[in-house]
Amino acid sequence: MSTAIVLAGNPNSGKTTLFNELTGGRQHVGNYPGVTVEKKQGTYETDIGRFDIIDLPGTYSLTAYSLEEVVARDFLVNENPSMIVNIVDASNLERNLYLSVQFMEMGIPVCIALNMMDVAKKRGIEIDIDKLSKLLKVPVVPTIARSGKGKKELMHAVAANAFKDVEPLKVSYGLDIDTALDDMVKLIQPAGFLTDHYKPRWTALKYFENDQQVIEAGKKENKTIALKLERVVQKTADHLSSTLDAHPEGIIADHRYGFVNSILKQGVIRFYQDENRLLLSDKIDKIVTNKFLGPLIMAAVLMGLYKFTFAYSGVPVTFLENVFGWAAGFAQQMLPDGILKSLMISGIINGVGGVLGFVPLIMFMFLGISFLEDTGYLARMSFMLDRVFRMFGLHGSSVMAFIVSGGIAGGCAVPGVMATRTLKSPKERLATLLTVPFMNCGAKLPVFALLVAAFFAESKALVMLLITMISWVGALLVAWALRSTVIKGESTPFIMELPPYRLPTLKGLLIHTLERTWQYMRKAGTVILGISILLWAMMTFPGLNKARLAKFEYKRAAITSGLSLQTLNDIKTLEEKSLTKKALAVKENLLQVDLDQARAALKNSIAGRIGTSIEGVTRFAGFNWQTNIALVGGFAAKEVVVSTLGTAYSLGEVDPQETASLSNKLKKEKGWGPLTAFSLILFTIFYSPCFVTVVCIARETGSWKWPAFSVIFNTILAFTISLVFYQVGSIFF
Amino acid sequence: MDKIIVGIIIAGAVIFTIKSFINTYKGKKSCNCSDGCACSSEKKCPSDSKDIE
Repeated sequence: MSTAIVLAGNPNSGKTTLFNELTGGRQHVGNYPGVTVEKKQGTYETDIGRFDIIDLPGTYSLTAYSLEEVVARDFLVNENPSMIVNIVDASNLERNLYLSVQFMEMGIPVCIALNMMDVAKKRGIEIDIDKLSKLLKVPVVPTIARSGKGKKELMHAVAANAFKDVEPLKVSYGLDIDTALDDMVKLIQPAGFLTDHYKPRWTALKYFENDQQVIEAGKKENKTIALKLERVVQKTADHLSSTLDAHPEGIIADHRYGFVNSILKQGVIRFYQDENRLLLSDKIDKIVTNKFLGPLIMAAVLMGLYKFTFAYSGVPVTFLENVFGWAAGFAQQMLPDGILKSLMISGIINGVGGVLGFVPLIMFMFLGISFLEDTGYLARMSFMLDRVFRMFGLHGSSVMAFIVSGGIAGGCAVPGVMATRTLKSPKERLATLLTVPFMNCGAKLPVFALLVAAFFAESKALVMLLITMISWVGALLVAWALRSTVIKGESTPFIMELPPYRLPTLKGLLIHTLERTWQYMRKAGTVILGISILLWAMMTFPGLNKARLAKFEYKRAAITSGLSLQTLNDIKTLEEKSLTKKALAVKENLLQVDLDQARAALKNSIAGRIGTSIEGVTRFAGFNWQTNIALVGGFAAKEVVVSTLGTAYSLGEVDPQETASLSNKLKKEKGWGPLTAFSLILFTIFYSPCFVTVVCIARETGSWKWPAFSVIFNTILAFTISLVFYQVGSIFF
Repeated sequence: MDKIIVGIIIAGAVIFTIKSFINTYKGKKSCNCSDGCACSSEKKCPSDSKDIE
């Protein structure tokens, strides 16, 4: 039999780190609050037993104000776990114990993991663990989740104390509220009002805290009792307002803090350094988050990240391109001519290879981002950008959703959309989740990398920084437009806890980098492969009809007429340098016919017809029909833009020796240049989110109206921007 | 022979891609970049569109 336990605590207290340590999981850990927005499950098995462990989102309270609080509380109430392992940040004991008190009030067995003991020690904080345990009447185990220290002791304490019957903690909230609570319990208990799920006093407390979820549940359960309870609350609130000029919620919070303080002041905590001394993190923050220096440092950090990425990924990217080029050449020689050869080379090797070729770049980018994340710098970015975001009708918490979506580059809009759950205002949340797809996710990255490498090779990092700035400015302007029109509403205040700077561990960095890189590779090898094959088929069939094929055959016959059999044989078998001038000219003419035939077949294919049918409009933004096919494919997943361009230009290629990388092919292609490339970059930034993101937006908003809006609005916006850029650019270049 | 092999590969790709999209749509897969997003507990998502609108 296994024991179900939950890990719960404040955001950024180390829950996910401990979860990974216990379960061997690879859940994402970040040095910023709000990493976990949904519960995660794993198993811990030792000689003392088997434990099913659930990692809950971090919360500051158990009143249903935001989605992660609802997730955490619902789980505790509905799943009835054997024990709550409350992860408490030892360096912020008072604030963390505020939540512990609420757990204990629920009447579920609690075991406190006093985490980050190393940080507390560095800050000069000494904690009397035995005394804390005795006063709270719950087991307390010191831990350092990052190194796994104390995890065995913790699980022993859990095994020894789970399933024990515990009385809910009764904190005194002052005479007025206590009397009212007693009266309410007298109403709740005999009627069995919500007692299937909640303890009576806890229900009464939630009525005082104006917890809408409990109040709504109460109305459904028994309207009469619910009304009586609301009357008691209203009467007490009026009395408190007239006598103390305070609301019940405030008084309850004050008394909980008072309870925590009364414990801490009994010699539990001792500061052997000045409590108010400036910590190293504070000193760094004075510079890093400075009003003037902060933005400059932020731009320099981003520029440094891009320089690092392009500098170190250049060699392995070229190496991989050569590997795929070699594979294409090998398949060219080994496979007999026909559609299977075309599928292998154009559909799979040049399609998926184009995406996989960027794996080193993605890996270095993820490594850099993981470093910034683990040090705690990303949280500072949120803090600094809050002021800017508020000007555009967004919220400080929106910043993290933007960054998760690829604000720096290399994220993903799906977890970005999920991260908006930390926003409490529905309108700010909607504005955020409609604008996060503008960020440069990992799928857009190969598109940018391809075009930047081909047309802006001299200033790769600078162009990447420019792309980042454009996506942020665009997203903010769209947010502002939405908040001023369709989703008008007040802004809500933002309070953010800045985590201390931490030196990332090598293990953590490697886990983050490899996990994200693997996700990218897995996607290339599954979904992208499937779509590439489909698009290859759409670019190959139905092919040319007999009459058109006969025309090309006629051209070939005309070129070769009058040549001797020996010359014809030489053209087929000898290398170019061994051919006579006349034979070489014939060979070139024949190759031109082959090329014309291949392009005519591509243009006549299903995808080709789609591409050419919209070329009349898209050419004003600089997009030819091959680009159109790629962009239509990009609706499924953005990487497909690269794989489709790879397939399209490979299908139009007939020289068996031609194994140049896609970026080199584009450079040589007529109609392509920096202007076209940047127009395509702009379109890629802004156009419709991919299919998976669209589904997620539908799930998170609970309707298909907003995802439909996102697809249509974003595509029109993207085309308008590209069109204006291309037309204005054409005047100057 | 070539045509049969290519036909099988394309059919496989069609089935796999459609299945992936259906799974994403139904939210059967866990939440990530390649597979999409599943709300395993309804209460994690806004209970209805009115919450947002």
